[in-house]
Amino acid sequence: MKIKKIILLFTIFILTGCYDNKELNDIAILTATEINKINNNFIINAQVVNPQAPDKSSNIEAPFIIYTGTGKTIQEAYRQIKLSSSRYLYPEHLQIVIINENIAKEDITQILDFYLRDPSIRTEFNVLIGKDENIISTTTPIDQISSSSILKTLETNNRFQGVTNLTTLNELTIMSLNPNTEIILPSIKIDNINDESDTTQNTDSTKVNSMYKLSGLAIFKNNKLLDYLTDNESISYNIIKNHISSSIITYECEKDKYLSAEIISSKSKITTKNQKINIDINIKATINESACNLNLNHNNNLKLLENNLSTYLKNNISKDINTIRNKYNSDVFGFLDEIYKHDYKTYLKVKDNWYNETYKTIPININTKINIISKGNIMEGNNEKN
Amino acid sequence: MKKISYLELSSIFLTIIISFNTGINICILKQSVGVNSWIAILISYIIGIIPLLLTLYISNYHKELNLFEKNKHLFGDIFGTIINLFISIILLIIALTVLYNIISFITTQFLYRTPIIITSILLVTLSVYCSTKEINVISHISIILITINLIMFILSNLSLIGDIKLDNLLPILKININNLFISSIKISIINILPIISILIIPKDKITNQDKYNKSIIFSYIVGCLISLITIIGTIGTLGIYLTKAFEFSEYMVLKKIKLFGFLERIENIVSMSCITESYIYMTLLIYTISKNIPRKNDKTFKYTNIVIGLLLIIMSNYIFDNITVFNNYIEKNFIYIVSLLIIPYILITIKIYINNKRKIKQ
Amino acid sequence: MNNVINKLKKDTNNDDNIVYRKKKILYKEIYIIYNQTITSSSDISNFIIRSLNNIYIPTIKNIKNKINNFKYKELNNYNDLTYYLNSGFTIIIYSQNKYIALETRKDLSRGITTPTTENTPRGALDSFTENIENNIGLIKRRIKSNDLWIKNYRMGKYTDTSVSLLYIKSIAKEKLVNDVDKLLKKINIDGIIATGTIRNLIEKENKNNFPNVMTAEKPYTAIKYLLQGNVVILADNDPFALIMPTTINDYFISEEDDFAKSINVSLTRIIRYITFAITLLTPGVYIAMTTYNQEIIPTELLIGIAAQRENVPFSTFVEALLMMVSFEILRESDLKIPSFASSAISIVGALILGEAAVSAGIVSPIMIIVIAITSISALTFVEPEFINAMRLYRFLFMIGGALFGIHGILLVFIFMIINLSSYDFLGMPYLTPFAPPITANLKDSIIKTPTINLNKRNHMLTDNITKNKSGGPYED
Repeated sequence: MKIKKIILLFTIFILTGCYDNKELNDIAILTATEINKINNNFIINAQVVNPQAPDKSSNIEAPFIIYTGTGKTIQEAYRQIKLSSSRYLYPEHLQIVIINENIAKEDITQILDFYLRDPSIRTEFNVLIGKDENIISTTTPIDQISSSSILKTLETNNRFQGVTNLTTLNELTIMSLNPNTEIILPSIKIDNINDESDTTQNTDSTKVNSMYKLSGLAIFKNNKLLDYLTDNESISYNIIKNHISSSIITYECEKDKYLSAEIISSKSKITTKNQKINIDINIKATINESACNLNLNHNNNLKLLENNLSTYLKNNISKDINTIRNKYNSDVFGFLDEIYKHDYKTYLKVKDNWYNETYKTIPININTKINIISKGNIMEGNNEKN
Repeated sequence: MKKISYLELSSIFLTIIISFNTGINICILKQSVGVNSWIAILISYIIGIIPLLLTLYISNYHKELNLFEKNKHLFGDIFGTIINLFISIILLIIALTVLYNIISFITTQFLYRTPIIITSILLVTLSVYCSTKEINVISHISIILITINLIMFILSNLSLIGDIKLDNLLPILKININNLFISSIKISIINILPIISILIIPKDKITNQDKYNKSIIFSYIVGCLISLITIIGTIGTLGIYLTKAFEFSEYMVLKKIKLFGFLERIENIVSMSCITESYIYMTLLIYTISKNIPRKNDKTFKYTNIVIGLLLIIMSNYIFDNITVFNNYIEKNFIYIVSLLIIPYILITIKIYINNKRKIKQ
Repeated sequence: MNNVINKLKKDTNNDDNIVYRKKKILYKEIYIIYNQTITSSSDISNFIIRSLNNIYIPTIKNIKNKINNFKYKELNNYNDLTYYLNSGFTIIIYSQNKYIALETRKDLSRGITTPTTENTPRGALDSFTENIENNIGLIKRRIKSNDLWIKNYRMGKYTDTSVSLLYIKSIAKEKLVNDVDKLLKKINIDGIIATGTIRNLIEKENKNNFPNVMTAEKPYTAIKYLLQGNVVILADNDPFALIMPTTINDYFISEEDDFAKSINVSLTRIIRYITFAITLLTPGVYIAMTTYNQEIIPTELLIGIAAQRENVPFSTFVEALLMMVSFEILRESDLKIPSFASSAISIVGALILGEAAVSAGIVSPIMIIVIAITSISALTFVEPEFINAMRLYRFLFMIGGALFGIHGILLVFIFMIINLSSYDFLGMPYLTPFAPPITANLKDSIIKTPTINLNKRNHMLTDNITKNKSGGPYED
């Protein structure tokens, strides 16, 4: 009886065949995509890992291959790649998607729709705005596959400088779908692009010729790209939205003499009450470098410095907020969302006139508190002899 | 007689109330109540206490009989058979819904190119194979799988804690209160009314009878917690807009899981728990339905099960064309069909009440 | 009297090995018959002949009293005569149906040696031998109570093997003993060559391919289970005792556990359960992950695996099957070949199945790792039957993984759980400490609680639930 059952199970298994089977030899691992739109046609650059490359002995081939396709829809463009690719494009390991600013200026919802709809695509990849074309085709040193290089750069930058943040497709979709928030995305450009930038010669010399470079956040309104924030504005934005773990504050402590403090941890909280926005920022910092004559051994000096730094930061942030809201009039901070969630009555009052009136004028109160937890290895200032 | 321990009973009970967690619950809630789904779940479980108490009350009547035998005993052969048939048909429809729900989940998420019929044949074959065994085998299976599921559920939700933003559950109660109540009644109909099928296990079959009520109420609370955590986890992590955007949002949440820093992208494995829950539920339903059909020996029992299985396969392939039809069916038809289960509940309870009164008088 | 002799001669085809010796005491002629292959001739001459020489009045009572042999038996029919003759007794034929059987058995069994299959770093080193009396002795040495009851059977039309059923009367459930007793009495077979035959005859052999009956080489194991309420079956000429009924958890317990502290044992047990999962699932999950669910593998690792697989022409399933089969062949040959050739096997195995296969492009290096961890994990279990059972499900998991990915693995897993939990041997569900959950045994399963807390027995095996245990830790 048992044997019969096993045979039955076997036959069920064998008769069915393998519909979804894809051997590793038959798939091309797609790690990055760059989307551009010219003359109403989508142009797709798909980066595929060349599996032979990790073998160090055969280092002649490029570590990855770029396929290009065009089409009226993104899917059509992807399918066009199959004209030249021997393998099935496997998208589950997609790490980054770079949306060219040409599309971003028009509308990005079609891209979102495509990537959210396909169940075989993990929606946890990172999205960037590309200021140039052919960013992913540029070869990179150290991390040979440019997508993982870009991803790691994003992570490192977010951890140590804070100009960019990591925005996954899911987060982008939330920003796009939520009527109370606007999109903000990290952006990337390429320096010194030339004919050799997509060959391995690009990375042969010690000074790499053309390199990608992250730049300030791209700010949107109504799913359309408006402009890019400056680096400082980006840092301020990231501090407010808690997207930062470490950054540098450069503070002019005396005339033409600067001090730099490193943010170790930063916590911010946006609250709202009576049509007012409160932003509380708590920062722990260390002093890394100082050109000023400051004896940090004294408690008073330290307190003074903390106060100065927090006022400086506060001014900076409020300046940046005001620039952003006056220049772009786009609620990337999610103030309206905050009001919607915590103060529904006010929300009903302000939602109609938000961009016309309230957003530009709503009072924003910023409280910053900087706590210097370490001043480094040096006991006193280096400039004691003066 | 082979007995069932009370822990196994509560594990079976748990599968009944939580197996619609994937797919259907959120599908009903997210459109109508949005961020306040968790309140709807709470209310639905409070409403569900009524059928729970009724079930416990019914279970005490003639402890050695199962549900269908009880009906025949209460209402006589003809009317009892009619009620049994009525219950069986509703249970068959529930089994069909469970099956299609889980198949549509599998085919849209893992096996895109595999035809639905193959997936359904595989699941139903295993289910029928299991349901031809005795109820204690089903209970052994359910306790093992449920233990594994609970461990996975706890681990995955622990790893999601960092991602859950409780802000996403705000604002509270800024929606139509009527909607809230209607949806919670719907949820309690779908999730809690089918617990009538637990009565297929006569109370005498449980080893520790004094723990019968305790174990069922315990798993009711656990089921409530699981549903709550699933909803809060999903909406808290994705936010209401993304939850509405995705077909299986509670599966999308699992994509964020990162255990111990290196176990990521394991949503496939974690979501297996949904499949096992539905599987046990379906097995129990097939077993229950086939118990109703009079049989001479074990062989006819087997054939009955096979016929029910075939019926399920055929129906699941021909009734629903795609998932949109299915979702419409859930909202428009399924809830009303399941709500008909109230009739046997009330009939049986009243009859038992009258019988008990009569006994006391005598 | 000659009738008997003639019949015997006729039945044995005048076997030269059977010695018929006529002896006359006064007027009475008696025959001394023995089979020289299984009797010790010195015993015969030392005791029987010498004591017979001292007898002057040849009555049967006199012979019985005067004979020096301690073990004797009075017989009165021909069948018993042949049985005792063939078991190494010397028969004195006094008259037509009065015989005396005297034990003069030659010691044909080997001595008590160290166990060969159950290796533990600590613990008693004696093991069962081929002699059933020695084996019972080894058990009796450890259980001095009168409650150790033994039922004896003789089985096999030709072998006439003696089989004993051992149990502790006050612990083992009466129903269990009666069931086994009934099953054993039903057996009617040509010969019992190994205890395994008994096992296969009393259970539904292929209903569950995991073992429900444990074979034990060490008296230690037998005693341990006797004290839990299981019954033990010993058969003559087989150094392996049968312990029944057992559950899956029993195969994860080793003698070594009794010597270690419970927290250390728990860690070891967790490792054993993990190896169980590894050896069942690894090839299947690997196939599923590399052909269906590639998203589970981290990107860098996936690129690495893809690069390794680049030159392999087979599908992953075939590749895994090739390696699994060749490993099984290697293991099979390793068991059979004499020890002088085993180094050759290991070189062939390591080289051909490892490096050469990789460089020839037949398999990928990662597959070697997968198969290696699978096979090593399987070898942590003592019971060979258990290892073989896992092999079947491993193949099923591979097929499931190859056809439906992780989902197929799940289906096979459910199939396996159904099969395991539906099997119920002698009233003991196979997955017992887990399903149905039994707290007394759960305390000694994946996690072992301190020995002082293990004070209950499984109520499915025994009515005598409480172990008599008191005593406590040393306190200052």
